[in-house]
Amino acid sequence: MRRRVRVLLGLLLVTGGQARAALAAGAPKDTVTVGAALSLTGSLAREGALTREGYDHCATVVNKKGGVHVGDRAYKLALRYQDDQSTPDVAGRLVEQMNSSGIKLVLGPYGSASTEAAAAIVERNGQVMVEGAGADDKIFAKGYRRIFAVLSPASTYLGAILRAHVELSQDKPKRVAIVSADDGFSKTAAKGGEAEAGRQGLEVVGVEYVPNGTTDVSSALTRLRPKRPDLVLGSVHLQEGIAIVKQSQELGLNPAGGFGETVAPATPDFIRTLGKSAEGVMGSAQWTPDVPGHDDWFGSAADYNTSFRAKFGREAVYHNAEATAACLAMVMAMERAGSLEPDKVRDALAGLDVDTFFGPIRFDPTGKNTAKPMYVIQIQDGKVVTIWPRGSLTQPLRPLAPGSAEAGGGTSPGERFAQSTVYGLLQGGLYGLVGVGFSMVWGVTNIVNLSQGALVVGGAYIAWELNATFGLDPLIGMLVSALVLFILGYAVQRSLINLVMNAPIFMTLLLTFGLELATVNALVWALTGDYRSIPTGYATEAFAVGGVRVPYGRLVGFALAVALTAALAAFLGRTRLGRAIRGTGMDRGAARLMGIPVAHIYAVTFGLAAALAGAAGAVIGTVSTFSPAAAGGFTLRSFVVAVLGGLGNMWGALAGGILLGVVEAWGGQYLSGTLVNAIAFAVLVLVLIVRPSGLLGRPFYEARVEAA
Amino acid sequence: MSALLEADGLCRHFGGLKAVDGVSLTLEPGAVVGLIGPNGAGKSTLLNLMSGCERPTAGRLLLDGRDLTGARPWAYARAGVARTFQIGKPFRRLTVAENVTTGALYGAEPERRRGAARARCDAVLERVGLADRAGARVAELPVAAVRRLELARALAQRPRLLFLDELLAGLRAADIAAVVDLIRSVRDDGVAVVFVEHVVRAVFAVSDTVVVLDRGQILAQGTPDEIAVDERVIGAYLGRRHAERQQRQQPRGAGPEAPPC
Amino acid sequence: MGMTPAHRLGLLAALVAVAAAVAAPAVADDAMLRTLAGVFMFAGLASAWNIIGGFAGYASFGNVVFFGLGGYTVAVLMVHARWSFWLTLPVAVGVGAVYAALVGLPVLRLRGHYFAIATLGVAEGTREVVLNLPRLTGGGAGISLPVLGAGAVTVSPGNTAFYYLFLAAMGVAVAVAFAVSRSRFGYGLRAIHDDEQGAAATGINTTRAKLAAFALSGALTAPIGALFAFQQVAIYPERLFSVEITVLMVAMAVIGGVGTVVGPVIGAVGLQLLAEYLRQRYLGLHLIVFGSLMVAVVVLMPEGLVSSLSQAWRERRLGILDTVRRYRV
Repeated sequence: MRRRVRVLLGLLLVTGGQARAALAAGAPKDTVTVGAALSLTGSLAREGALTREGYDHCATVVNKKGGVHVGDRAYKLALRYQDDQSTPDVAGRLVEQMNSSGIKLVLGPYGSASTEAAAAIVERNGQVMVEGAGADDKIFAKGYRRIFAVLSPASTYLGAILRAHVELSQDKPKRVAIVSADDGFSKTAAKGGEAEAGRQGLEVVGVEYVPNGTTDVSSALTRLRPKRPDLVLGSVHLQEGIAIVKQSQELGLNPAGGFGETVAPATPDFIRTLGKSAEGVMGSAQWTPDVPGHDDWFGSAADYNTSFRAKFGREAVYHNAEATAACLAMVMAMERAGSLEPDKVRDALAGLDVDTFFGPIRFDPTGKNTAKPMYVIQIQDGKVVTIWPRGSLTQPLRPLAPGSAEAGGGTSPGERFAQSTVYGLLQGGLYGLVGVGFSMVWGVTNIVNLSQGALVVGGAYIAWELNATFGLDPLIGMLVSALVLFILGYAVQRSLINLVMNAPIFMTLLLTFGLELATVNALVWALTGDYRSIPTGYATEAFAVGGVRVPYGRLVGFALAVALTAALAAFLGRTRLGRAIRGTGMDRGAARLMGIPVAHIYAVTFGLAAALAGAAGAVIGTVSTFSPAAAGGFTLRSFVVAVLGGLGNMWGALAGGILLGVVEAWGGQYLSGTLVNAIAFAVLVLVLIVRPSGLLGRPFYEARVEAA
Repeated sequence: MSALLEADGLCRHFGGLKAVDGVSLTLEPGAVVGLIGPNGAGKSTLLNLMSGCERPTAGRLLLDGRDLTGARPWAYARAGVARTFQIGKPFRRLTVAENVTTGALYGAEPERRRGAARARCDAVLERVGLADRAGARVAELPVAAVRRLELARALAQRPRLLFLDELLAGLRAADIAAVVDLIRSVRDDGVAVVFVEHVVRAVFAVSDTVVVLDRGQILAQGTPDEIAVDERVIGAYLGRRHAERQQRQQPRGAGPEAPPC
Repeated sequence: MGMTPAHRLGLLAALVAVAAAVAAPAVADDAMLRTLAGVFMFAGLASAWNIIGGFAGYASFGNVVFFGLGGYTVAVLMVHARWSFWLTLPVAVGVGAVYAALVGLPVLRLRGHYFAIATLGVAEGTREVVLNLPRLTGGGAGISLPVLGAGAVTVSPGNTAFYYLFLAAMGVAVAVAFAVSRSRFGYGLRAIHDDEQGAAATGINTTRAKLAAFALSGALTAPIGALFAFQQVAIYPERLFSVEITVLMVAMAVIGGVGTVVGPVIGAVGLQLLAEYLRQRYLGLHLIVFGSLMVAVVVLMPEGLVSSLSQAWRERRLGILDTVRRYRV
């Protein structure tokens, strides 16, 4: 025991020292090391990767031009990255670590939350931070003096779009609706939009909030449709932004002035995912290759794009540019200060008043860059085009094709109810499909598979890849997904999970959680955290029954859910293998005595469940967006579905999914859009408390402790 | 003066199945009641009802005149009931001593301090013959020792009523004799014992009263001699063998050995 | 139970460790102190979880709800009522205990996976409720504790102070777990874990014991959340109610050795330092490695590090294959 403790203490000191050494290692004398804690994993992995590219490009170009010239010496610029896992408190801790190893000059993380956390540490330690990705005005209301942001603040995002419309549109919009995610940045942007609308004399007919990161904004749109907005603004991120356009089409919401969103439209994922539907959508952009501005390192915005493209093989987006600009500002400050000391660099930054490829940079006393305007872009012919402020390189605003605005509908409360119910039913079918395999595994093997969501996402990726490379329709790709995942699931159960079947339950929970962690991050690393969707022509088309729209894609998904559930139920009930599975689920010992190879049966069960998850993934990939970060949500919904329907009850799982979908839709419609998740969990907990065997099911295992 | 335990019209129904159907029973201190009957007669269920492990569908249960009908098992334990289970239910990851100490810490006369509880545990282990295995884990014990462990844990509770559910199943003759002796000594302490058994000769050897259960109802009730020759009981369960043996039997309470087969 | 030589050694080792921990700020820099504070935080969380999950065997997968409620209690009271942090701390403890008791009443009747899922649902559901009360909690935009600058209600103490605060919180949790393990209450919990029906028949009021264990777990977890909020200044629901925190605390307790007092601490130290090391060494890949390692440890040492290692020590061999054979299907 004593030895163990000593070993541990030693380990502690060693790794601590190693960590510090790792941070400071490899830094020859004429190098200035600038630190950056970025989201290389987690929900913001994608944006973190783009930010890193921007920082890297800056370092490359600066070093090619001889480095950072401080006084009469030239320093090589070295960037030291750390992964903050998209978690603010980790970002703070990493900045603290950088300070301890002597790194005083810091570049910002991605996202307002992490930036805020890092800012507090920087300010307290006397470091200096320049950032290009934390736009929430809140950060600059704290009296910090050592934080500088090169990007335009959050409050200007929607205001720019409104002013663009007012200045450039033939038919100026009069009625504006806003859909906002409920995170800090989006809310600030939404408020800024409301304020600007007031200033321009436009009426804000409704502001609806949606949960951050959701792919379903249908309840918000259903509530806005009757108010007949001319322009729908989205203060949202990429997921929600894509959903707004897609689901508006499904629901027949077609404002004359089109859509305008804060961050999504300027990114290639948006256009790639939405295809033709993205036409005419406007967005705010911190930068595009058409903006005015010039500096001695990167030249003009177009030059920047050229050099970026040469290095990375694709067009630069504003995430890249704002990162490079932040790094460039730091370099400029060091050169102007003639020193690397943080206080002097800080003062140089405060006095900076320059033109760059990114636009003008001049910081106000709070650290915001008030010199650069927010630009507005529009998607024209599948390309991002700058339209405002008018300049030499901008294009005119292209109005939507006349007559494409539908006469709405869905105004009566009855129609809203019906629309909500139909949408909920269809969504619920998908939930059921996601959960049915999970329920089967739990019922038969008593394993709660926390990696269920990862399997769904995996299936989506396979179908997407087949579609992207071979043009394979996802309905066929679904079969491939199912097959691949069956093999994978069988192998995992046979080789890994079977080894701990008799261990306490938290062991199997941790095992499947470890698998999930490894799988999701492997997907991020191999395929990036980009959001994808499988484009098909028909998915968002819908037919109308009265004022109620029924999207084809979701209808097909629902039909598939029913068909697959029926197939599974038939398999379990009628075939020899299926009965062997059910028997093993009821009594493992008895099954063995009958000569049933239990290990193989368990593996087949898990493989089947994985195959179903894969099929579900392919379907979901078609009707909505997915990314590795979505895995957790699928797993959670699977719990609810399995519990609602009773473990091992296939039709119960489908019914449970449908019930969940409908309850969520009604809740979102009549209570609040952001309550959707709360409702799902409330349902879960209530059912567990009141009737753990499920609303429809007969359990394989006793749920409750006490006797009758 | 109320009886130690009074069961009045106990019923336990599972839908259409009547596991226990109108059983009434009284127990005085120091009584030893053997509960026998064919499989499925409801013996274990009756024990469960009398120890609070199951709730009666109808009927009443009084301990010392207090109505404990429908109370949770620990209420019964606090009132003086201790029991063993047909499928052994020792605390598997604890040692022998820890098992018995738990009984001493809770139960009818709970010790609040671990030290005193451990002392009581040591005494019980001595009495039961497991003192040399005090530190062993349950997984290392043979079946006979596990049974004794459960008995020890029950005794550590200082019960006034002891219910034993097929404690002797699968034991050798010597072990059976030892347990029977224990039951006698427990009875001498004033504890009422009800034990469910299929080893009928042991039941006859030590019981004051034998209750025969068949299909959830009391078929017959009386002294071992009476029951052994009761035609209904012979027909339902015993067969002739025991009647003959009982007639050859020495008077009850003669010696420590088990009667010859 | 007297003090065996092994116990004496263990006590000595513990004292050495405590002395080292107390003296550390003299030699360690800010970053190291912050990292260690994080280790202490998780060790405390894992120890608190161990009371309900390890001793009683009720694997809660929602203990983060107490963490989050602790953090938000102090945040809300400091922001809206302008209370000093030190005044809000005991309130957080109370909130943790009461919420656990309320939630536990219906939920502790469930067993196994059902209990785990129910507690997970409660944690996630509570987070959603917090998200939907923006005027009180700031909602998705988060809330900032007034601890910096002129408007501060309680000034944020430095890194060293937080180091000691988290050390103290961990110390309290471990001390309570230790006291429970040696008490009558602890015997009751272990009996419930092994055979709940048998425990009830032995005279243990299982309902009350489980509730008490859960409430104790909540009461020990909430102040850790409060300290976290105090340290972070700006808190968000996604982080304070993150399921990842639950899984980490469970993993630490389980991998270290569920049901032992020192297991969760060892698990926390080991896993946190491992995670740090992997993050430095395998930038971008570290979670893949971490997840894979978790799988490996679960498969090879399903009884936890402490039990497996002490058994190996006793038997002078590493019986990995034996364990595997015992638990496989």
